[in-house]
Amino acid sequence: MSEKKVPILDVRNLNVEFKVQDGIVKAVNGLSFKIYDGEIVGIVGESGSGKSQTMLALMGLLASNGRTYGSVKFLGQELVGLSTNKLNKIRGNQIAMIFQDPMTSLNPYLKISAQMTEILILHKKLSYKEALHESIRMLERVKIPDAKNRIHLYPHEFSGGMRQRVMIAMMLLTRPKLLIADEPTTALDVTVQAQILELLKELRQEFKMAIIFITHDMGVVANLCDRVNVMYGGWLMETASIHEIFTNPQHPYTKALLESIPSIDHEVEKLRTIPGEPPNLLQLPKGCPFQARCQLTSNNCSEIIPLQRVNPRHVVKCTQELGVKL
Amino acid sequence: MIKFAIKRILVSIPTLLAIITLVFFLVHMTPGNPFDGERALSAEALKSLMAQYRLDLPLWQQYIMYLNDLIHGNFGISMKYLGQSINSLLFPDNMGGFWVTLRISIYTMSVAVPIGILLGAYAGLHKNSWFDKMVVSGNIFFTAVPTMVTGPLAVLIFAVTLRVFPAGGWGDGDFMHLFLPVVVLILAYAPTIAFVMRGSIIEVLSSNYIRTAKAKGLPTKTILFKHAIKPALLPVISLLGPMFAGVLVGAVVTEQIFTLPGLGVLTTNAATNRDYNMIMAITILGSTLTIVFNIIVDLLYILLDPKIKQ
Amino acid sequence: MFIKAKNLNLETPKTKGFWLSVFGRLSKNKLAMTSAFIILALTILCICVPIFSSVAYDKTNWGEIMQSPSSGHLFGTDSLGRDLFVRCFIGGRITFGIAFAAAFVVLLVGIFYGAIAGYIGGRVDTIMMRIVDVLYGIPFLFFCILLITLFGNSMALSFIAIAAISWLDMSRIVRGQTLSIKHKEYVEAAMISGVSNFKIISRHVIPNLLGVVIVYAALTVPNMIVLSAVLSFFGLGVTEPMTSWGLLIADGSQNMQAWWLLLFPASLMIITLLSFAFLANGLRDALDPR
Repeated sequence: MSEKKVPILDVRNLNVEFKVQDGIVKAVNGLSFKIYDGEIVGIVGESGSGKSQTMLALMGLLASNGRTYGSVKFLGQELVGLSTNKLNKIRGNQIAMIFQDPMTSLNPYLKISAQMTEILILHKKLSYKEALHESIRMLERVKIPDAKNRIHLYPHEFSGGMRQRVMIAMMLLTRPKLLIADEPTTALDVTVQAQILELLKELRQEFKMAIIFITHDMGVVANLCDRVNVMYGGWLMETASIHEIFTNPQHPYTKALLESIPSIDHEVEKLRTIPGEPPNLLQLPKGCPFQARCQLTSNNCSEIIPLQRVNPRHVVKCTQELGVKL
Repeated sequence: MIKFAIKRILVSIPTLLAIITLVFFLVHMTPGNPFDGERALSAEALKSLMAQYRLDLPLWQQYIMYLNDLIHGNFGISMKYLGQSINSLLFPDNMGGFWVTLRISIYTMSVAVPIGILLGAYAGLHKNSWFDKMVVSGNIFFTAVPTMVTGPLAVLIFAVTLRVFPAGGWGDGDFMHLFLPVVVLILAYAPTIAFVMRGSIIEVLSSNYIRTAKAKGLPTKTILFKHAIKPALLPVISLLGPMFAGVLVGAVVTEQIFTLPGLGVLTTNAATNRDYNMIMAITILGSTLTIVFNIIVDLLYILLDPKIKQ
Repeated sequence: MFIKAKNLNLETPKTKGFWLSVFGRLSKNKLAMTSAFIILALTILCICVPIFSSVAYDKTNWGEIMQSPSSGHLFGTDSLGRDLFVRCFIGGRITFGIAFAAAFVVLLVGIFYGAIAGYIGGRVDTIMMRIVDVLYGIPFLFFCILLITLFGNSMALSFIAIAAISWLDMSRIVRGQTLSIKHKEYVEAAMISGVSNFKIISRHVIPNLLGVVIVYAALTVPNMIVLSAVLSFFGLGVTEPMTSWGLLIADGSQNMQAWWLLLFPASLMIITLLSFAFLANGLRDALDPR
C-alpha cells in the first residue's frame, strides 16, 4: 500500500449521537480513519464501542433518533447529510453491507430470487431474466449447491451459513468498491465461520474491493485483515497494520484485548478478561473513556488526549509515553 | 396447502359439534318446559304441542334428530311464533333477520378494514406525530367506549339535534338510514385495526431485513410496498377472523339502538318469550360463522406466510 | 443439599421492593392516578348519594315529569318524574356491584383454571385448553342471552352466567404465565424437594401471577360494565324500578327529546370506562417498565 494513494473512504471527525429519554448517548466521538482501495481493515472493539454505529451512520442506516456530524467522503463525495435519493445511488451499488444475523437480515417473506434480482434491476438496469441469470452465477460463486433451483426458495429454507453466503452473494452483485461486514460470522458455528472468512478473502482478490470488517474477535482480525482500528467508548484508540498491532501494540486497551485472546499455544491457566465495565455512553468521562479500567492511568488521562504517531501508519490516542511495556 | 386446508376444516368440525351439544343439553336439561306459565293450556293441547316439538321423545333421540335437522340446514320450529320455522324468520325472503345483520357487518368491514390499515400505516410511518397521537388516543377511546354509548349519542347529535340523518329504521336500506349505524360500528372497529397495523408497521420497519433493504439502496416506495407490506399486514389479518365475528354481534347490538329489523329484534323477542329454539339457532349460527371466519383467516395467513407453507 | 435448595429458593423473587417500585412508578403516572381517583370518587358517590338524597330513586312525581336539569333536580327528571341524579347513582351502584362481583368470579375461575392447566400440563392441559377453545367459538353475547333466558332474568343468576363464561381470556393468560414460571429454578427446586402441588401453586405460581392479574382485573371490570349494559338493550338484567347505567342509557335513547336522560348516564359511563382504561394502561406500564 503506497502512501500517495487516494483513500476510497475518508472519515473525518465523525460523531454519532442518539437522543434518548435520559439524555444524549454519544456513540461515536471524533472518529477519523481512511480506507484504501483493496485493503481489508478490521474495526475491533467490545459491544458499545461504536464500531457498528459508525458503519450504520455512513450507510445512512441509523435509527430515527440518531444524528451524524462530521465528514465521510466516499470517492470524494460527501455522504453525511446526503439526501436519501442520492445515497440510494451509492449504497447497495458502490458500498455494500452485510450484517451480523443472517437469520433475520434476509426478508423471510420474499424469495431469494426476488431479493437478489431487485438490486441488479435497480442499480444496473438489467432485465429480470438477466438479473436472475447473474444472481444464479453469483450464488454458484459463493458455493451454494444447486443454485439454479434454490434461488427460488425462501430464506428459512437455508441454513445459517448458507444464508450468510446468500447475503454476501446478494451484496456483491453490483461489484461494490467497498464491502462493510458487520460481524458477519458472530452468529455462526466455528467451522462455518472459517469457511465464510475464507470466502471473503477469495472474493476480495477476485472483486478487488476494500472490506471493512467489524468484529470483537482479535483472532479473526489476525486471520483476515491488513490493518486494524481499535475502538473503545466511541473513540478510535489505536490504528496500525496487522503486523504492528500484534508485535508492537501501544495502547493499554489494545494490549488488554490481545491478552484476552484464548490461545492453544500457551498453557491455559485462566481466560483473561478486562476487568471493569464498558463506559456509560450517556455520561462519558472527560478525557480518555478507558481510564477507569486502564492499568496505566495518570493524571493526564482526564484531559485532552493527544494523538501520537509510532510511525506514519501507526497512530495511538493515549497519554502514555510510547513503547512502555505492560 | 390444500392438505392443511382440509385438516384445518376437519379439526373445526368437532369444535362445532361440541358447541351444538353443549347448547342443546344446556337448554334441554334445564328444568321446566317452555310452555309453562304463559298460557293456561289444556292437557290435550299441551300434549300435542310437546309432540310437535318432539319434547315427548327421549332426550338422546331429540338430540340425534336435532343434529340431523342441522345437517340439512334446518334450525327447527320457533316456540314463540308457533309452527313457524326458524329458517323463515332468520333468513326471510324479504330484507330482514340475518340478511340485515350480514349486510351491516359487510358494509362495516369493507370500510373499517381499508381505513384502519391506511390510518395505522400512516400513523406508524409518522410515529409520534400529531396524527399518530390521534390514532393512538382514538383507539383508547373507542375500545373503551362501546357502540351502546356512542350509538345513542350519535342519534342525539346527528338525528335529533342536527336532523341530518333519520334516528333509526331500515328505510329501503338506503344510504341515509344505514349511515349512522354503520359509522358507529366502523368507529368501534377501525381504531383497533389501525392500532394493530401501526404497531406492526413500526416493528417491521425496525427489523433487520428492512435495514438490509435500505442498505441495498432501494427507494422507500419499494421498501414499503415490496418488503414491508406483507409482514406488516399479517397481524392485521389474524385479527380479522375474531373481529368479523365480533362485528356480527356488534351489529346486533347496533340494530337495537337504531331499531333495525335484524337478528337483534329476533334475539330480544326470543329472550323475552323464552323461545329456546330461536336462541339456540342464533347461537349456533353465530358459532358457525365465527368458526368459518377463523378458518378463512387461517388459510389466508398460510397463503401469505411462506414459513408455514410446508 | 435438598435442604439448602429449599432454603435458597422457596421465597418468591417478587419482593416487597418490587411492589414498592411498581407503586412508585404508578404514582408518578398522573393520568393513571387521576383515573384511580375518579373511580374511587364515583364509587363513593354511588354509595352515598342514594343514602343521603332527600328523594328516593323510585319516587314518582307526576307534577315534575321530564323536567330539564335545574337546581332542584341536578340531572333533571324522567318520564315518571323521578330524579335522574339519584337514579344515576343508584344505577351506578348496581352497575359497579355487578361488574366488581363478576370480575371477582372471573379472576378466581380464570386464575385457578389457567394455573392448574399450565401447572399440570400434558393431557390435562390439552383437554382443558380444548374446552376453552370450544367456548371461544361461541359468540359471547348470544351465549349470555341464552343462559339468562334459561336461568331466568334474575340479577344474581345473570351475573353468575356472565362470570361463568368470561374467564376464558384470563385462563389463557394465566396458563401461559404458569408455564413460564414452572420452569423457573426456584419452582423446579421446590418440585424436586417434594413440596405438594397445591402448595407450589398457591405459594409460588399464583403470587407471581399477581402482576398480570391486577392489570387484567382493571380490564375486566369495564368489560363487565359494558356487558351488563348491553344486556339492558335486550331487555335483560336489571329491571324497573331498579336501574343501572345500561338501563338508563337504553331508556334515554327511547326519549331523545329529553337529552339529559341520555347525556348524563352516558357521560358517567364514558368517564368510568376511560378511567379504567387509563388505570389499566398505567398499571401495565408500572409493572413492566421498558
